[in-house]
Amino acid sequence: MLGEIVLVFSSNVFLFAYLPAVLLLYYLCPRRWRNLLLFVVSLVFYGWGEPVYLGLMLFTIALNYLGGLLIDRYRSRAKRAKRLLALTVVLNLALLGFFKYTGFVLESLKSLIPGMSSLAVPEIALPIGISFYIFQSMSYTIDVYRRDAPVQRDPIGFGAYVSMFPQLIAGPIVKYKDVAEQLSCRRESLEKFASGVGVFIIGLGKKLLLANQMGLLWEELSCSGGTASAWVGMLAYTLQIYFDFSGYSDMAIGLGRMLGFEFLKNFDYPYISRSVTEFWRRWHISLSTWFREYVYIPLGGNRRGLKRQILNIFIVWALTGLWHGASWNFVLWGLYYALWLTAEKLFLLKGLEKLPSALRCLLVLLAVALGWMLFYFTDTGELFAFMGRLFSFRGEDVYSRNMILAYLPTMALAVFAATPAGKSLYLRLREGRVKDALSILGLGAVFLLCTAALASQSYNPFIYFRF
Amino acid sequence: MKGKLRDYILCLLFLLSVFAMAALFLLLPKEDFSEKEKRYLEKAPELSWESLSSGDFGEKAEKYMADHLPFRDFFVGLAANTDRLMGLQVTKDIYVGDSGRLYEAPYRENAAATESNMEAINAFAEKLGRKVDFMLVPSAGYMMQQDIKGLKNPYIDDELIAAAYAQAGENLRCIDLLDTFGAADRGRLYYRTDHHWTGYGAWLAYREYMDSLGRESRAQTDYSLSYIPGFYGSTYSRSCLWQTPPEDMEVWDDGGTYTVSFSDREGEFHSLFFPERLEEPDKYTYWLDGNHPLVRIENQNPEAEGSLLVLRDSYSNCLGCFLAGSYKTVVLADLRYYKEPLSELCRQEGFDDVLVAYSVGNFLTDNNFIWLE
Repeated sequence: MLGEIVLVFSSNVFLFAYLPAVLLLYYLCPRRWRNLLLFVVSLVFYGWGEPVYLGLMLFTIALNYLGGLLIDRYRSRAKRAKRLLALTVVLNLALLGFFKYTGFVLESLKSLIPGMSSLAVPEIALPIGISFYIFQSMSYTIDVYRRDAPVQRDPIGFGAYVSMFPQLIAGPIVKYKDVAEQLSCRRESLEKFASGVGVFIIGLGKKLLLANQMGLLWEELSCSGGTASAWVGMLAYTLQIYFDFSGYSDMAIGLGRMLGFEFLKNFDYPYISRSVTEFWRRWHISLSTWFREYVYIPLGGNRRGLKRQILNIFIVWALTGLWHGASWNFVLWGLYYALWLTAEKLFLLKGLEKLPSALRCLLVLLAVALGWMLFYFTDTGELFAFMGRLFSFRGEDVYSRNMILAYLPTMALAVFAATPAGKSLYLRLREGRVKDALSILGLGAVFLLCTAALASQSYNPFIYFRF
Repeated sequence: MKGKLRDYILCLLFLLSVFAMAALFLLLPKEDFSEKEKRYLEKAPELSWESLSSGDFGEKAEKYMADHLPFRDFFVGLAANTDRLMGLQVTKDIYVGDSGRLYEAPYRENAAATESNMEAINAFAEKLGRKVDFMLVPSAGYMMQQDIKGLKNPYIDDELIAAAYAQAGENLRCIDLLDTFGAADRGRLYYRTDHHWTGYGAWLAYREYMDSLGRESRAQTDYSLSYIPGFYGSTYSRSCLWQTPPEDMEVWDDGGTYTVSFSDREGEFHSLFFPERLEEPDKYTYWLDGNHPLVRIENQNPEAEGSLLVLRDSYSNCLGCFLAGSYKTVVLADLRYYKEPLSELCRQEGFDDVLVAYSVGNFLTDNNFIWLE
C-alpha cells in the first residue's frame, strides 16, 4: 500500500533527522504559531517523496476549506448548502477517482468491450496517502454540513489538519470532529509525551522487528513449497499485514501525542475476534467508522428493512475493498467480507455462539487469513495456484522446510504479540519502581533493536566483494 | 510522583538518543569505505530539482544515512547477532560453524548457468582444437559440513560438480578434487573467515593437477611457511559478526625467483607476494596483487620449462603461486576483466597446457563465460 520513496517513520532519515528537527522547532515555537509550523513540516514530509503532488495536496485543502466556509455561510438556505456539499464531495471523489482509478477503469473497460482494446491507458502515479487525506477532508465538509463540527475559518489550522504528517500516509483517518478542538487548543504534557514515546516505539518494533521478518518469510514461501509452507506462509502474511498496518497506526498515534494530539485507537487486537463482525470492529477502526458514518448510515443502514440492509452492506464493502486498491481482487475481498457479515447477521452468529471461544477465534482467523490471500494475489492464476497448495497434500522440499523451522521462534513471538496477553501481564504488575524500570528497559531494548534493524537495512547481502 | 519519574526518564532517554544520533551524524567525519564490511559506502546525495522530484534524493539520502549512522558497526553487529540468536542462520548468506568458522551458505543448483557456461567452455576447447583441463573447487562449507551444527541448507557441491563435469565435451579433461580434499586435513583447506582456500588447499589442488598431467610437483617440505596475523576475510565482512577473532594467513614460499607483470599495472615485480597489500582491508590481495585481467609470471629458474594458461577466478591468486614454480611461463586470465579473444592469445603464445579453474560458487554465478572466444 505504501510507495517506495515515501519518508516513512521506520527510516533513518525520519528518526534521526526529521523527527528531532521537528520536535525541536515545535517546542521552541510559540503556541500560536505551532499549527503553521505543523503545516509547513507536514508539507516537507509529503514533498520528500513526491514534491510534484504537493500542488494536489494544497488544492484538496483549499477545496474543502472553501467548501466548509460556503456551506456554513449558506446554512440558512438548505438547498444551496446541500448543493455546495454535493459539489465538494463530487470534486473530492473526482480527484480520488482520477488519480487512483483511471487506469483501473480503463483497463476494465478494455477487457469488457472488444472495440476498446486499442485504448491507451495513461500511467498515473498514485499520489501517496491520497486515499487517506481525501477521506479526512471529506469528513470535514460533511461534518460541517451536519453541524457535527464547527466551521474552521483559519486556513492554517485546516491545512495542518489535512496534511498532518503523523497520519498523512497510512492513517488513522482522523475525523475532523474528533480533533477540531485540539487544533485550536491542545495541551502538550510530559505524561502525554512519554506515552507517545512508548506507543511510537511499540509501533516501530511491530514494523521493523515483526512485520518485516514475517514479510521475508512470506516472500520465500508464497511462490514455492508444499502444503505446510503454504499454511505457514499464509499465517506469516496475516501477521505481517497486521503488524505493518497497526505498527504504522501506533507510530502515528505516538507521534500525535508527542505533539499534543490525541487520535482514536485504530487497531484493537483484531486476531482474537470471535466473529467476523467483531473483527471489523477491531481492525482499522477509523476506516470502518468512516464508512459507517458517511456511507452506511446515510444509505439507510439497518433502518429500512433487511433486504435494504443487506444491499447496504454489499455496497459499503465493495467500496471498502475498492478503497484499498484499484484492482478487482480488492473488490472481491470486500465482497467476501460482505458475504461473511451478512451470513453472520442472518444465521451464522447464532451457530458460532454455541462453540467454545478458542474454536471461534480459530475459525474467524481462518476466514480472515483466507481473505488476506484474496487481498494479496492480484493475479487470479497465482491465487488459484496458491489455493491448490493449501488444499492438497504436497510434500516440502528441504529449503522451505528449513525456512519454516528457522522462523518458528520469531513467528511464535509475533503470534504472542498479536494477542493482548503481554499487555495484560504487564498491567497485572504491581505499580512501582520495578514496573517502571521494566517498561523503560523493555522500550529501550526495542528501540535499540529497531535502530540495529534500520542500520542493517542498507546492508546489501550481495556486496561487491573482490573475490 | 513515581509515574512522573518514569515518564521523565523515558522522554529524556528517547530525546537524548535521537538528538545525539542526529548531532553525531552531522558532526562525525564520513568514511568512504567500510573496513569491516569491505565495501564502499553510499556517497552524499546531490540536491537538485530532478533528484528531488524523482524521489531519487530521498532514496539516496536514506541509504547515505544508514551507511553513515553513528555506531553503525555496533548496530549492524547487534542485528546480525540477534538474528543468529533467533535461529535465523539458514536464511542468511553466511553460516557459523561450531568452531566459530564462517562459511558461505550452500550454492543451489542452477541448471541454466551450468549449461551455458559448459557450452562456452566446450566451444572454446573445440575452437582451440586441443585438450583443455577443467577444475571446479568445492566450497569450504561443503568440505566442512560436519562443523555446521545449526539448521542449514544442504551443501550439494558434489552434485553440482558432477552435473558440470557430465556436460564436458571430448576436448575437456576434468580434474576431481573431492577425493584429495576429503582425505586431507579438512580444517586446514580453507580460511576461517574467508571463502578462499588456504595455501594448503591450493597446494593440494596444484599437486593433483601436476599428477594428472604427469608433471613433477613440489613437496610440502620444499616450501618455507610463514604466518601473517590479523587476517579478516570476506565471510567475516558479510556476516557482521564482528566478535569473530582474526586468523593467520599461511604463506607458502618456494624461494624461487620470478618476474611478475600485469596487463593493467605498470612495471615488473620480482616476487609472487605483495606485502604493501597487507596494509589494505583485503589482505588476500597479498597473493599476486589480487585481481587483474591478465597476469604473466616468468620463472627465472633456468631449468623450468613449459607454459600454462589459466582461466580463473580469485582462487588462482593463490594457486598461481604454486603453478608458477612448475612452469617457465604461467599466464592467468580473468574473464571478468579480460575482454580480448583468448584464442588469439593462445595462438600467439602456443601454451603447453590450458586450465580452467573455478570455485563452484563463481562458476554458477559468473556470466562472463560468454566472452570466451
